[in-house]
Amino acid sequence: MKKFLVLTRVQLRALLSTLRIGGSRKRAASGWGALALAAGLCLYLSGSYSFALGGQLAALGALDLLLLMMPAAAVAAGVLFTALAAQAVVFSGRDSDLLLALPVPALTVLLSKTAALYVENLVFCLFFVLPAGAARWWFGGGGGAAFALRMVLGTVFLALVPTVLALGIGFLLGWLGARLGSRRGINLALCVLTAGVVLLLVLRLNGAVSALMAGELGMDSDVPFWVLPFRFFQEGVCGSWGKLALFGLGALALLLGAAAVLAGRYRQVLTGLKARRRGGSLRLDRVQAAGPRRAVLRKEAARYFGTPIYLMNTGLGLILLPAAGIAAVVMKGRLQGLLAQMGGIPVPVLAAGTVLLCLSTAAVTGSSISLEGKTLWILRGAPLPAGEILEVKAAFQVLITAPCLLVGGAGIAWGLDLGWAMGAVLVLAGLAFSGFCALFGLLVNLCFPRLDAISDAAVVKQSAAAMISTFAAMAAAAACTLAAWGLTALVSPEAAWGFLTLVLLALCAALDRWLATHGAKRFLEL
Amino acid sequence: MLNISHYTKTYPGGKTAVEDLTLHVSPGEICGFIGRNGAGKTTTLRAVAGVMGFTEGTITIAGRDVQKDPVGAKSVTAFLPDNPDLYEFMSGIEYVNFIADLYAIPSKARQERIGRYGEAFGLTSDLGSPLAGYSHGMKQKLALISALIREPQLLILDEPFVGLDPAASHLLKGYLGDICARGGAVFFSTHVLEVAEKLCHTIAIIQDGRLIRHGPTAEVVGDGSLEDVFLGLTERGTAQ
Repeated sequence: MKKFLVLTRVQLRALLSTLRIGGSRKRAASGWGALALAAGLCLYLSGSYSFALGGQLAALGALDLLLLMMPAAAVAAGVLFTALAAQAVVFSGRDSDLLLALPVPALTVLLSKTAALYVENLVFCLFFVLPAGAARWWFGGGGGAAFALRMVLGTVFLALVPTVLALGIGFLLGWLGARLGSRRGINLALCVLTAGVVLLLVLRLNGAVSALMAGELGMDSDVPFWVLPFRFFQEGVCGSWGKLALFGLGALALLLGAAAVLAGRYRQVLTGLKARRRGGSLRLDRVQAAGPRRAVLRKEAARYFGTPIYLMNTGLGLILLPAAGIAAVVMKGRLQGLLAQMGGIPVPVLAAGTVLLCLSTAAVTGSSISLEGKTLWILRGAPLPAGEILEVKAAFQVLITAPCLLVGGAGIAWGLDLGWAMGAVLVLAGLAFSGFCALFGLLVNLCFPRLDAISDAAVVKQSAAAMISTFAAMAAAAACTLAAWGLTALVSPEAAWGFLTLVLLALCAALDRWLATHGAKRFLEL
Repeated sequence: MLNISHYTKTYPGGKTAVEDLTLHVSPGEICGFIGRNGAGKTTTLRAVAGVMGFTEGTITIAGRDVQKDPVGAKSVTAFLPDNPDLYEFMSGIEYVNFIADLYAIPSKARQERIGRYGEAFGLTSDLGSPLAGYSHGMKQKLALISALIREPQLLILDEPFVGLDPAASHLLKGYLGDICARGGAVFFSTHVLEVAEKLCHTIAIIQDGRLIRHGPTAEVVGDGSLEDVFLGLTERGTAQ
């Protein structure tokens, strides 16, 4: 037990150190301020959703369902965001040799690494479930100290559920990776497949909760058995200490059982991943020359497409964008029917805002410098000005965004009958926004670099720069949408977005100037 | 080839790592840079390579100022740190090709050089494999190949013999000689004093950030061994 606690403390310190915002007091304060703002934003979003849903459920007399739906959503979000991290954090990591050489059982090492995963899921659950509890109390569902205590205990147990699921998926990915080899294409295909399966499970969970809600309201429904644990959670939190204890013990037993089973193959998976593999036959005459800028660009692409956790964490919005465009074309008739009934925000503003929101999730440059880690000496020693290296990094983000934006923008413009002028403005605004996000991400990463993280997953998912750049981009997308909405009272949507495109381009120019001067200097000082 | 003049490096916290170091390495010369752990060797080598900025002094390589013309200085230099971390998402050939692109080496020349050095270090059959599966020694060899294909005027190496097998060490010594024969120079740090004594034309000894001895190897060593001289100098320095 003592060894487990020592190892867990090290893992949690590693997790917190990824978040560490070093440097001067001013930088630390601004970094923590930005993170607090991001946390506040998350709390605000989940709070608004909980209160809106709570209001509707209270009107139907089914308020307690809120404590069934939000935990289910928390588990879904937790699995979606930590499944790939489980592979990178638990079944990989630069410290695995060191840990496996220690005189401690594999189960202890695995559980200590799982603790980091659990903390991440606990944060998700807290953000989802606590506002739901507050909404239930607000709409007269009852509260009090005992309820609050049960809520907190229930959330602590609830976080074990996505942790077990993520652990299982992470193990599967690690095991397959060890057996099939570390070939880029296979890893990438596995991760895309995993994301697809997880997304499908999330949708099924959503369907199950709807069925449960229908059943609660006296309608015929087919409730799957695997939704029942959430029922235990709900009834436990709402008053039954016994059911809460059963839920907690069940979740804990599940985690310990899964860990005990997986620990048997833990060493095998880790050593399998590190095993040396032979590449294909080498033909030197196929070696082609390229310019230095193109070489850096190709390196960025190899890093991006060769690091599944990086790709999946920043590429979801880029996948959703063309998917939204295609869906808009396919469902054109239905969409127009829906939009005809919708009032409030004008359609062109909403469409462009959605595109910007998708783009804001692609914070590629927010981790780009941190991911260089100990290989940073290669770029710093290269005969290429630091400013140019930074420009190439930003250009890479815009380049991978552009095709998705063209397909998505064109599809949305066609599907929503926005007209060619608005379609063109939509794509241009998207490109300008993508450039702004790329340059701003670099700025944030230069200010808050994390060059010594124990894994790429820690950099991509948990570093301060990654979080700040993502949430700032989302806030910028929201600000642009609100500004465009305001401007449409004075000018046409095309003119409003055209003006905002110019503003974004001006910001890009200012950021580019900063990166070429101060940014380049900072890059060489890292 | 390499001129270091009154070089001083002070870290943001106020700690001075290297103070007022002046050193000259001529074309055709191999200069061994020795000192205890934390003496300031790596800090100096990184500054020469343009990987780290410095507070005072000037460093020029083949007439190019490292701070005023960093791109020019780097384009005639090759630097290898003591533990070269390479891009593990690339294969060996992808990495070497990437470096060749950065240094604008023409296709034909790079193919010939990669083939020659790959064969010499016994790494050709592994060049197609992902770097993630390379051993420490293989990474060291690949990093050396990526440095040698540039045919640099100045080769800067931090502990180059650590992790290399005897055959590769022998090979490397020959290649260092070749660079000097072409009119280039080598500036490297090492803790293996026997190698420094046999290989280097000049020796520079640094202690606590100050250069305490610099000159031709025969002159520095005298009638004893480099080990005796080094221990004598550094112990005297510590006592003072």
